[in-house]
Amino acid sequence: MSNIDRRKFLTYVIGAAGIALVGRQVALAAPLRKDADTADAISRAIAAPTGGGRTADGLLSSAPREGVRKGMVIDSGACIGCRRCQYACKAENNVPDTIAPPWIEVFQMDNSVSFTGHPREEELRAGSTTSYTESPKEGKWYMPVQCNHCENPPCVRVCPTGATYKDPRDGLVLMDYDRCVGCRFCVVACPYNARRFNWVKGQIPQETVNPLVPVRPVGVVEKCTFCVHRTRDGKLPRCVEVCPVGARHFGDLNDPQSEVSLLLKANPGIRLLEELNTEPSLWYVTRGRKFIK
Amino acid sequence: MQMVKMDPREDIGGRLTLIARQQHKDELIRPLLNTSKQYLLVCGALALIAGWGIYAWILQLSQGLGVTAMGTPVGATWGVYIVNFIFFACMAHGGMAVSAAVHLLKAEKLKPIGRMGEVLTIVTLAMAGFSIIIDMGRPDRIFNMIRYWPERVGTSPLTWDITVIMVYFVLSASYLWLTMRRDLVRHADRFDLRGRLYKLLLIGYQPGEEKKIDRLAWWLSIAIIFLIVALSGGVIPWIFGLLPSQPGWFSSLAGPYFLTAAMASSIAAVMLVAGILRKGYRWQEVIKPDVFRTLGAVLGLITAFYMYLTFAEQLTMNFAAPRPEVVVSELVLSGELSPLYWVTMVAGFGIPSLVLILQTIRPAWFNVTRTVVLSGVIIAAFWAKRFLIVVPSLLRPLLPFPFGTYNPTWAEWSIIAGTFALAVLLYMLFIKVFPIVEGHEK
Amino acid sequence: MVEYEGVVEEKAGNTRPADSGRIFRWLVGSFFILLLASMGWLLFHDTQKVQAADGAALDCVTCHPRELTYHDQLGTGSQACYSCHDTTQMGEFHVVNGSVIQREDSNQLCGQCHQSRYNSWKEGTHGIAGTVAAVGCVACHDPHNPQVTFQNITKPPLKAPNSVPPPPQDWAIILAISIGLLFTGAVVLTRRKANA
Repeated sequence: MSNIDRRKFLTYVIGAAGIALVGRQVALAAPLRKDADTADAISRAIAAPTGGGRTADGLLSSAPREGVRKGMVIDSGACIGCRRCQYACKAENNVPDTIAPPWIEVFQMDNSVSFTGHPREEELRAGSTTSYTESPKEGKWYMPVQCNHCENPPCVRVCPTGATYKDPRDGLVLMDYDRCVGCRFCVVACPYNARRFNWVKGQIPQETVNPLVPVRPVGVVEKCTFCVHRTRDGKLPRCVEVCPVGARHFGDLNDPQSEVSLLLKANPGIRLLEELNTEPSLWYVTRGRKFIK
Repeated sequence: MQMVKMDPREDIGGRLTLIARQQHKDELIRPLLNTSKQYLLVCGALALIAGWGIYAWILQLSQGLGVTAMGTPVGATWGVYIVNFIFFACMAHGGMAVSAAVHLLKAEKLKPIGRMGEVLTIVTLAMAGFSIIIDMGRPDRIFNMIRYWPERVGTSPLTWDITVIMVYFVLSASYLWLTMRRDLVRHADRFDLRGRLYKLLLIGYQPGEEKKIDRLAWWLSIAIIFLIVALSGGVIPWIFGLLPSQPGWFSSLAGPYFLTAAMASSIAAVMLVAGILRKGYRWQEVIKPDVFRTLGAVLGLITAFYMYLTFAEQLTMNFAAPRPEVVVSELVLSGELSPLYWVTMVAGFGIPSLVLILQTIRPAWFNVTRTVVLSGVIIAAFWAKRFLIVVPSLLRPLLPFPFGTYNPTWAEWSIIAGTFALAVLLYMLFIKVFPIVEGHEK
Repeated sequence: MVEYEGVVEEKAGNTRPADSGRIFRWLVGSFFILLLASMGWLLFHDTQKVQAADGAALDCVTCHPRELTYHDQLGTGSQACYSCHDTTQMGEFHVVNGSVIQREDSNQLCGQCHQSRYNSWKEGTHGIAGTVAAVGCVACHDPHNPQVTFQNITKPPLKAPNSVPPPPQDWAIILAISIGLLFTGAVVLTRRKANA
């Protein structure tokens, strides 16, 4: 009896080991998304005929330039809180109505607390930092927030699948919508609440879809990409373009002659939640108009 | 019941001893021998609840997580599903801790409830994994977590979490299997269908292997103790404690805090299960009150220590803390969530731990039923307490977003109830298939 | 014809003496001539060329009081008006060095103080996209109350629609009752066994 059992046992064990080895090979053959693979994906996308050559980050044209650090400077003194950037970003990036507010949020602040402090509780409770319908109001100033494309992003550190990654060439923090499992760890890790989750399938009317940007499926995380499909093509992000008061500026922070670098040399600037060591690429200055009295 | 073979040389007294011994052996496998109507009714009710929970989950799979009350950027990104995960995962230690005590500390009196606790571990770990799958936005992509494991294990706390849970599950299941063999071999010839299953699990059985298995179990206990600390005092709290992005989460106390909670809730769970089974199958002589006395004392002390840690945490968040932490603390101590908080702390932890400690100091006041009931209360309080750890910080972000609210929807509550019902159902199924009480060496 | 009691009396014509008729005609005629003359004078008299005595600045607010917002910081009384309106020629604008400009060049007036805004308008990054060239400042900003027009510029906050489906009520009730019955049954059986 025990002899037969031993034979059967050996058969089972060897069979199981064989299956495991085959399975391991299959699993390892799947491409690991290292940053070098992004370049391959992009070259493939460029070579592929249009209409099928859309990669995960919506890239259709030129590859990112090396050694660039894309950054943005927002002039909080000039911002009038009109939300035009918010709406333009939503239209440009196919953000559905079910994600609200979209990738950009514009706060209404006042000087009862410091520039980066916590507004009064009554205002936070009532939602008046974001529910205003007329602006600019007396005594208030306006602060748009979005993904800061940090140099030391906590969201990239905590992602269990590597679906969000920082492109080392131009410093953008991007998403692979095909890899994301929707665990939302990145959403809670981001101190700026910059990320959005597709709780339901977003409906975007066919005629308003921007073909340069992928439409995200349900259950994945999305966020501002600094309009990667535009900025790698020599264009400005849409929010920078439509600002009616020119409060937004975009460029290469590594280039000392770029608009953003010059602005930061000439004006005191701050970044949000600096003490959290995230090293954001989004600066706030306050030149431009003074307070509306 | 098998016919007792009568040796004509034995007298009446001997025959009675044999009968008594047989009955004694059968006492431990009473669940395997009869199935009462109450059992079937309760199983039916639990199956209905679990079915409703699964219906709600299917609704969620088809429509997305929008059926929950979670929201970004205003509102809770993680809700009752993650609370459920922490609750079940941190409860999965009691059995192993009790078995480890039996093996390492030679606390033989705890032996009868050893397997009850181990099965609890397996079932609750499975429910913890299920809760995570329920919470994911794309459960169809769950294998991405394993596919990209080598790339992410160096940096992502969730990957560490998956690793430790898998290792812990494998070790616990192995432990359960190894220690169950000696009971399976005793009853393998007695049952037909179950007997075949036993024989399958008794693969490679050699009489006298018990000594080898005991040594294996000893080493497994040591490994499991490390894993208990690594899971409940390590990877699970570090999902929260390492992130400064949500006020109130970033704390070096997170590890010890969660570990204490885990030890308390898991010991309470073992006592609850043991108490219910003891009452249901009339095992009052098999599981002596001394078991509950010891475990009750430990539970009372650990719960009291947990209250001290909670106090320390709230004091730190209040005294001269940064504004975002004060706001979160205010929400919990005097804001919308304060009724839940104070009921949990006073009626859920304070009174039960006080009574348990008094029971220990004054043995005359000890009562098994009361201890088991208090364990149940403490378990419920821990679910509520974990809700109060996860959700309030998410409702008060660092940037001036409006204050969020989180009122779980019917779908979320249904799924939570479903996981609880499924856990109890699986447990009840187990006791009908395998012997739940570790047999005595006779 | 006036008729009474059968006597038909021809209404005589004008019974006034011949000389009073002529005076009446002169009066009516001169009235109408005066009326026409004053109308003509009023029509063709150039009201915009009201010259103040000795070239002194006009007093605007006595006849044209206006509630200024924001631009009231330019001065009290008529001082604020003089920033844009010419001090002696009503209806003309003048730039800061005093030279008068045409009405259609009024954007330059705004550009004197709001230089960065003026520059970005000229570049095309201020104002409603696609309509920059044609539209001047005053199309959106009333110079006396520039804030008021911002109401049309600020877009409303976006809110996500509710996505929670309602529970199937009938099934929920059936389920609750069934579960209750099963649990009660179990409890009752246990009690009965205990009492037996």
